[in-house]
Amino acid sequence: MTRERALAGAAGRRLRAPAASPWIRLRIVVAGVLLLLLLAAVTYRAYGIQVRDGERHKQRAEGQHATRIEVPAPRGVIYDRQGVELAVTADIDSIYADPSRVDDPDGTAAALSEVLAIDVDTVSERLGRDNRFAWISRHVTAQEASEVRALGLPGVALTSEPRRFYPARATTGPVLGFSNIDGEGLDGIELAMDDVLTGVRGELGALRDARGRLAISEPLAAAEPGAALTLTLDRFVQSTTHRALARAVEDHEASAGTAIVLDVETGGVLAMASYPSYDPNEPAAGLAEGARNRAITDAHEPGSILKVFLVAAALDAGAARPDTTFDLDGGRMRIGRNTVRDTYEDDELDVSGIIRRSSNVGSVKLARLLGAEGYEQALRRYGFAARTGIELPGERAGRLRPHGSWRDIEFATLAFGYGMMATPLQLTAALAAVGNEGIYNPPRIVERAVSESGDTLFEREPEGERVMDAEVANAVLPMLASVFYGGPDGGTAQRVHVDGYQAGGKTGTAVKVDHEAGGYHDDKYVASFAGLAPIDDPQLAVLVLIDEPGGDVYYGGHVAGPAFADIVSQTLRYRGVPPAEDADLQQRGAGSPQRPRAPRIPDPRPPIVVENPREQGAGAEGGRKGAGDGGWQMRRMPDLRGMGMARALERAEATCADVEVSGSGAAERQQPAAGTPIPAPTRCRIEFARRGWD
Amino acid sequence: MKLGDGLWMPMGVSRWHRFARRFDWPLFFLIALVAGLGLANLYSATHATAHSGKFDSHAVRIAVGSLIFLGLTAVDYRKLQRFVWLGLLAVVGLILAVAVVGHASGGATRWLDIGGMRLQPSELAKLGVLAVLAHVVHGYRSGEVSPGASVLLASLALVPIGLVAAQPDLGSAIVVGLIATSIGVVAIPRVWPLFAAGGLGLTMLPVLWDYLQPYQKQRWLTFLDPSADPTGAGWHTQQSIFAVGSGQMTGKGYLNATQNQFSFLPEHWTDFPFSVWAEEWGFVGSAFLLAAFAALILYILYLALRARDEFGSMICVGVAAMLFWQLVINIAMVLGLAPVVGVPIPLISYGGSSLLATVIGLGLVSSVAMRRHDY
Repeated sequence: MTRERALAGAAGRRLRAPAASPWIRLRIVVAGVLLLLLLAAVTYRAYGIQVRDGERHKQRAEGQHATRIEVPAPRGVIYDRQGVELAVTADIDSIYADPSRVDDPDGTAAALSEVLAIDVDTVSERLGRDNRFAWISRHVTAQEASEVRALGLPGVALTSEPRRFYPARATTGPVLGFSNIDGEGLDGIELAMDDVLTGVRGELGALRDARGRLAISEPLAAAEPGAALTLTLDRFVQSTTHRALARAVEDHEASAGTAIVLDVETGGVLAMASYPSYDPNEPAAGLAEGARNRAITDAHEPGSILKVFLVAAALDAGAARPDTTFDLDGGRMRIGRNTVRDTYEDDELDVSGIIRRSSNVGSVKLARLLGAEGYEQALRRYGFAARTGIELPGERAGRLRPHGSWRDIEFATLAFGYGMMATPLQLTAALAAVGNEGIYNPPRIVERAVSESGDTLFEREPEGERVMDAEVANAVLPMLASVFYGGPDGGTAQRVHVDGYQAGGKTGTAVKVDHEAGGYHDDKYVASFAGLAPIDDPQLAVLVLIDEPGGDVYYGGHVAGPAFADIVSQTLRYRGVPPAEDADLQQRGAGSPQRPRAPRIPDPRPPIVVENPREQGAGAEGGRKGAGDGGWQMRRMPDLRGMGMARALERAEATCADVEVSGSGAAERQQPAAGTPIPAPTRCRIEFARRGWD
Repeated sequence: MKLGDGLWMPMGVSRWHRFARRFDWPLFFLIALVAGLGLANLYSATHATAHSGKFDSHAVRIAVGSLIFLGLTAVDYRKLQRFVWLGLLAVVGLILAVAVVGHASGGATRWLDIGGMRLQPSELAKLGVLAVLAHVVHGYRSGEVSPGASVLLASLALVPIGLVAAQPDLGSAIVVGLIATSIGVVAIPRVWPLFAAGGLGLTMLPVLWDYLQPYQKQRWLTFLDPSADPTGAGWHTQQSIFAVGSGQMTGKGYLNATQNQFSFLPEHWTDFPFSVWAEEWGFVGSAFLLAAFAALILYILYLALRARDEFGSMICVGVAAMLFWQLVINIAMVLGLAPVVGVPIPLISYGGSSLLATVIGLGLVSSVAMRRHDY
């Protein structure tokens, strides 16, 4: 011991012998071994959790907080050809819940029900879902959102979702279509171009903490906004067309109508209106009334308008010359047991006269010169009986049977537009080819699509194709102009006055097929008017079609003509086409365009008389109902500032004929200023800007 | 002059030299390693939360704790032996004070406000009981106290267990009980009566059950079947296992414990620091932390073997038991092997009282380690 001490002391550390007795020392060693074993067991458990089952735990861990939320990408903006916004996307709040995080389902349901004005049971049902995510109410107002936020209910949260707004409302209606709350296009351009507009849905790594709050919104895949779409549509022309059509349909108590304006040179759709229409912001009511894009979804027997193409085909084939004359025998012609008759009892007409006077008998004789095969081929060349391929859903192809199956009477009626079906758009596009020196452009409505990053995804290219000789086309133009000529031997549209411009066109009054009883209706017509303007260098091809006019006047020139004139005149003026100085002179023989010499009242009898042709002498003024801006009172411009887009547009409706919208968020500037007296619906401008909502 | 005579030892250069040569550096480095891991982990557990201030206060406490540790090292533990009963009395007094003027939190009253600091006397009870039991063992072994009196004194030392359990602080009561049992198993000549008492205790379980608070019963029930109520009481266990499991072999990396940062686990800096560690460092990290702890505890047991007297030896056994049982209970809870009870991991968990008790215990062990030499 001494030696030991001395040694230890030499080292500076004298180690003492341990005091604990041997058995205590043994127990301490055993305790050490036991605790090592226990720690080893714990480590083994950790190995089991982390390594053996680690993957499973990791997935379940992520599954509970990294709820993947699909974020709809903001849909692409839709612009008209001038860059005016037709469809925009703005963020709006939606309320959802994580039912597993709701402490007090009954209290929460009651509170939400009160703020959101939703039935308590409905809210309870949504909260009761065995799911970690349930929408409570989507696209709520800013007020509702802030109230819910203030409640601070556990498990209830808000997120902003893109919502679509259509500033032009019913003006663009079915042609623009609409998208649903999930940002899926359901009609019109929104549906046809859905892929382009939708963009790529983002995925939000919605990392929730234990209280169900969104802790981090880490985009797993950023939403790629949809591409911006520029249409060939022009907001002004569309609006003019929409109004003119609506007035025509309402004045004539018609059931429906459609109007199309095509850019002759390119085939681009400048306007495409349907009546009834719907407000894409609230499409339900309009849809219930049967609103659809009738320009392409409806096919009718075109009636006399088809004579234009018969004439073009005959001239193009060399079967007749413009000065070829036809002996009409007073406008009656027997074909088998049937009699074809004309509205006017002309004895002799040249080719131009057939158009001007809309002679059925002349058409039949001209068609016979051309032959059935040549006629069918020409019609198909002009785009009939095939879809135009316009970027819109629901287009019909129309119908034209092969000429081999035509019976005599069918060939005859086809000459003046019965026995085949064509959509209004097909007719307009074919007419545009006549105005475009014989080059047919398939009608198109999408100009280009540009992605968010600025890449052009799509650019419309000219795809024109010559379908008739340029000379032929140019020869038809004066014939179309003559339809407006006045006088006893004037045209069928002599009462139609296009203010400031010379137009050419063709009336059409088709008796509707009675699908139930078979044959034709006695009193159901499709009144239409298609034309080109200005006729010396056509820029516009316009068609107005009024379905089942209800008044005493249902003749195409009367019912659809004024709308045609309105559209042409306003559109040309808008496009800066100088009015023709001698425009009024075209109505030869008429002293004044305002007081045209009383023409012969066109006989609205069906062109094919099987028996008992009815005499009808409808009064010229009889069908016109009072048109005017009755009901408008002086208003003041409301103060829209601070309002969200939906609300601002709603308030602006009363005073604004047309609202131009820019930006998104809350209304910041407006024109006219708040309080400005508004004598008549005016063009308004609202600028929106994002403010600190959240 | 014999060094270590006074409670405070003035330090000259040569004294410091001697102190440094006697100082148990392996013990110090093992403690520093574990405390360092704990500090780094606490930073991760709180850095992205509203509780990031906890890191700073823990760092300050570690610094203060180091001074306490060094101070106790310098003091001869044998000089402190005469104060053990006083210490236990003080602890009992504090526990009773809690009952009167204590600060309630989370359904239990455990805290005492002392000059702006919150003290949890139940933590100090661990220390008081182990010191008194070491003293009793010493008295009995040296023949100064008769076996009968020893049993009486030892059972007196168990009073704080009942008081802590009554707070109610079940976790601390269990830990104190386990410390006492550990010392007993090591030091009682015939162990079998102890096991018999343990058996009797088991038969008393149904009676004890009635005295448990409802939330305590719930914890035990959900421990037995955690999936019965996955979003209720079993929720924490489930979340903890998710967190640990998602660490997999090598972990998500430091500061990347998303499962914990999104507060799926309440107070994870106190009760679930291991789940943060395991999520970030994976099984490799878990094993490393457990190995570091095992090394520290085994080294303290080694010091128990080498202590100069049985009081020092039992201090080491008691402190080793204190570290071990808290570690094992906490990690067993984190790994779903034990119900959720509020037992912290020494040196790793955030909490001043726990750190204070641990540092004092380790300071005593360090003192014992130095006095095994003729110092």
